[in-house]
Formats: sequence, structure tokens, C-alpha cells
Amino acid sequence: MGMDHSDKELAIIILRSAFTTLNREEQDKLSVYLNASEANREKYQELIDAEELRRKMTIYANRNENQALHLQTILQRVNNKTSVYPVNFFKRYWLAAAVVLLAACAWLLNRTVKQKRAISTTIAATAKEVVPGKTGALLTLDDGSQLVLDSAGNGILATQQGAQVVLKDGQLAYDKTGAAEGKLIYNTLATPRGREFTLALPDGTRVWLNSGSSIRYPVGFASSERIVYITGEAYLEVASLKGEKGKKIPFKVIISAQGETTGIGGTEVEVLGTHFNINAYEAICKTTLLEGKVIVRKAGNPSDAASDGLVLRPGQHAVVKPHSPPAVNYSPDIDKVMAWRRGFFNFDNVGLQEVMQQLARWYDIDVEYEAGVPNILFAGELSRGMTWPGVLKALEESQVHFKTAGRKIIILP
Amino acid sequence: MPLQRHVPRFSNRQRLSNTEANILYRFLQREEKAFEEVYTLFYGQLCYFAEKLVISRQLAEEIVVDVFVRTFRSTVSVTSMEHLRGYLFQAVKNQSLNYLKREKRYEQHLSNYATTSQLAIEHFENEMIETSALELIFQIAEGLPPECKRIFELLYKEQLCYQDIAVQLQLHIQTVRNQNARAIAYIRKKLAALR
Repeated sequence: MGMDHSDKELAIIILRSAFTTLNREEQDKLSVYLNASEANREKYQELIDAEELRRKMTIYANRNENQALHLQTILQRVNNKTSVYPVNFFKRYWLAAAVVLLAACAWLLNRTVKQKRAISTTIAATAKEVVPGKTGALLTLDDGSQLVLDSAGNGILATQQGAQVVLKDGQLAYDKTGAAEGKLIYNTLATPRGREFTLALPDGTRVWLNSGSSIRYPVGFASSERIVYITGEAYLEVASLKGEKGKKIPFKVIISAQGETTGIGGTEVEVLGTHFNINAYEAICKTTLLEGKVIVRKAGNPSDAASDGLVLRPGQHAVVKPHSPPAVNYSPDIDKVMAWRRGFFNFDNVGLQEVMQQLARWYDIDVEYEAGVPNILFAGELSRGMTWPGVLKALEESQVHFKTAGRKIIILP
Repeated sequence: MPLQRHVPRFSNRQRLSNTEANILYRFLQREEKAFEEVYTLFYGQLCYFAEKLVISRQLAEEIVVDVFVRTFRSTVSVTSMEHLRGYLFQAVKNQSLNYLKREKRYEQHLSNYATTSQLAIEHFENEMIETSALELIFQIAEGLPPECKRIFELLYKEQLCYQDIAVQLQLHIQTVRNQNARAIAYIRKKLAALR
């Protein structure tokens, strides 16, 4: 039988015999299978027993838990043939690892001449407590109570104004749609450094929060307009929603400053279309539009005067700085802006300080400069699944001088 | 020296449809996004299968990770998704067998199985049949209407009882029973339509 498709065929026949009826040909095939061995007969009994099947289904369904985590490991190992293996992997599975490593070394020997790149397999072990970011967030409910979503299992977390707050596969959602009645009740989802999170708002709008960011939103939107408040970086895919008389219900994003010192507080993005990214970590708010149409305006401008706002078309990028009107960039590097959503850092033409800020947010580390910021410009992309030792190695290769102390990296001249 | 560029670039606005042929085509072109899609399609199945063979979840996951790494690194010549699936299952099976032999757990493992299975080969085949059957059920269940699917998942993924689901979703217990019956009827109908 082996690895042809007969396993699938037999699976169908067995399930069909449990749920429905078999035709003659199938009955014959099943008989052959059942007569072949006691083991086959036992497997058949297991699969047609409702309780046993249900138990197996639960185990099966939960085997996807570490899927996202392992994808990072795999892509990193595929892309990165120097192969930094997790320690426990070596312990438990050293022989296969050694074989793969030998293969990797052989491959690298071939490449060394071309790439002039030294092989180092000893860079693991250092600073192993620093790890890449992962899924996680802090949810603050209307009454001020807080829920840590890092390790919470699937299920209903709370009920807010009749809407159930549901966590499923690392994503937060609200099960109630339709306009809120009475006072708006707000929840806040915040990602600390080293965490990112995905959220579906009550209207079906999807929000991806990068690390060190937050979004404040009502658990049920008003019928006249939808307003959310964002800090840090988020990518939104806004659901189109029509109210009474088929009029579109506008969606607005208010960029709340993390303290008024940033001077961009109150930047407002009015959404007429769908997909866009907002980056407001520093004293600059950058809005990049992928699809649809948005208007960017600074606080205090009357929202009905469209001329005061800046209309963005897909592929354009608006920059709001303190004390100056919004400016538009007609051809931003969309791949660069969206790299975080693809699971990468894009450091094309990015200076050391910005590189270190991005790394600090994702790996939750502190950065110090011993004598100012060296003038180094980077290029290329780095996987967000990269181990911290891998990152240090990459920095080393980029001629950055540094030393580390626990979670701190000190940049030397 | 710059950081290494790891991935071919692709535009966010040029997402192709995800038909199997398309995934396979892009997989053969070594497109990273297609690796992810192949991984997503087969990861759960392979983990379940491997765990059935080596009786350790952690080890099963390590084996599957290793198989994916080697598959994505090398050039695999396959002609269909079905072919690729066969290739991956075979690789996981071989890797599991190697592990059992190396750890000298093989004989012990087989002797544990002696009451239910006289031959390892039957054991492998039967675990593959079981994996295929479970995958088929969940594939069919993907097509359930949303409300019904939700209850199906709570019943069979979370293994909650009718009563718990009724409380959690604020529904009458009979409604939960009805939705379950509806889900079973749907699966029956889809199974009958399969050939």
C-alpha cells in the first residue's frame, strides 16, 4: 500500500461506512482490508466508534498549536544556512542535527569563496534569555481590569456590553455586530515590547498591532461613525459598513500621542477605503495606503473641510511632523513599510539608531551608546524570527562594534 | 558588510489565487510564501502522524520541523500536491523509523504494539489512514455554516459538552444538539458525495 493514495481511499471508505452506506466495490475493498489483519480490524473499530473518534479529533485539532512558532524556526533555518539550532534540539536529536549541520557545512564550503563569509556554529549559547518577539498582548476592559493574552487559551474571555470577547488561535474578536446602544464602552489592547497581536473589531475590521503599540476601541461602534485610537504601529484592513439609508459609516483613526511631547497627537486618518499602515512610534506619524483611500489631517481642523486634509491614493505615504502640515510621498517603498507584517525587518537605507530602536522593540532589549551613534547605514532584510545571537552576528558582519550585558547592548564607537 | 537579504520580494498587491496548482507552481519556483502555504496545509497532519509513530509530541514536532527544513532546502521534484503530500509523509515516516531504531526504542515500541499490531508496516499504514480520515473530517467541516461550525469546533476541537456550550454561547441546550445533528448530517452528505 505504502505512500500511494490508498490511505486516503481507505479513510474515505471507513468514514463512509460509519456515516453512510458503501457501494459494492467499496464493500469489497473494506472486506479485503478487514480480513488482512487483526490490527486493521482494531483500527476500523476505533475509527467508527463515535466517542473514540471524537477523542482523536480533539487531539488532531490541537496539534496545530505550535504551528506559527515552528514556521519561524523552519524559515530561519532554511534561509540561514549557518544553522543556529535551538539547544534542546541538539540534545534530543543530535545525530540528525549533526547530519544536517554537516550538509550545511559542505554547502557553505562551496559558497565560502563566493561569499567570503565565515562559518560560525558557536554563536548560540550567548545571551540566550533574549528571544524574538511573539504573539501576546494586554487587554484592558472597560472596568479597568486587565487580561494577559500571552498564554490564555481559546475561549470566551469576558462579556462587554453584551458582546463576547473571544480569543481564538491567538486572535481577539468580538462576537456581536451592529451599532451600540447608549454609552460607548471602550476596551484597550496593548502590545508590550516583544509582542505583536491581531484583533478583529466588532465591525469586522482587522487590526495587526506591532510591538509597543496600542489600540483603544468601543466594543460596539456608534451608528454614525467609527473611531479608534492608536499608538505605535498598526496595519488595518477596514471593513466597509453601511448604516441607515445605505450611507457608508465613516471609520476614523486618531493617532494618540504617547504623552503630548511627541507633538503629533491628534493626527486623524479618515478612512474611505481599506488597507493601510500607520507608524507613529517616534515624533512622526507615517500613514501608508495599500488599497482604497484615506484622508490625513491634523487635529483641530474641521473634519468637513476636506481641503484641509491630505488625500492619499494607494501606494502613497503621508508624513505628519510636529509644527508642519502633512506631507505626501508619492512613491514610498511599500515592501519596506510592510516588512513587519511579512515577518521581516527591512533595513534598506536605515541608520543604526533606527535599526536599534526596531530591534529593541522586538527583542525587548535596551540600547546604550558609549560615545554617540556611529554613522552606519544598513541594507537588506532580517527575519523577525531570527535568534538574538543571529542578530548579533549580523550586526557584527555589518561592522557594528558592541558589547552585551544581559538584556542590554552597548554600542561602541 | 550589509545584512543578508533573505527573501525574494513580492508585492502586497499581487497576491495570486491559492489554488493547489498555483501553490505547487510557486513552491517549485522556491517562493517562500508558497513554502508557508505548503507548511500550513500539512503541518498538523504530519505532527499527528509522527506522534502516532514515536509516541512523543515534542519529538514528533522536531521530526516534522526537520523534514520541512530539508524539503524546503532541497529541490523536490513533484508533479502534484498529492505527490508532495506522499513525499512528506514518507519522509516523516522514514525519519521516525530512524529515530526509533537509533534510540533502540524500536523493538520495545513494537513489543508494546505486539498485541495490536504484528507488523510495523501495518502500523504505519493504519496511522496514515487515521490521519487522512481526521484531516478529511476537518476539511469537510470547514464548509459548515458559521454558527454550526462554531458549535462543531467547541464540541470536537475543545471537547466541551452540550451543557457547557449552551452556557457559554447563551443558547438552549437543544439548539446545541440540533446544530450538532446538522453538522453530522452535513458531513454525511459530503461524504456520500465524495468519490
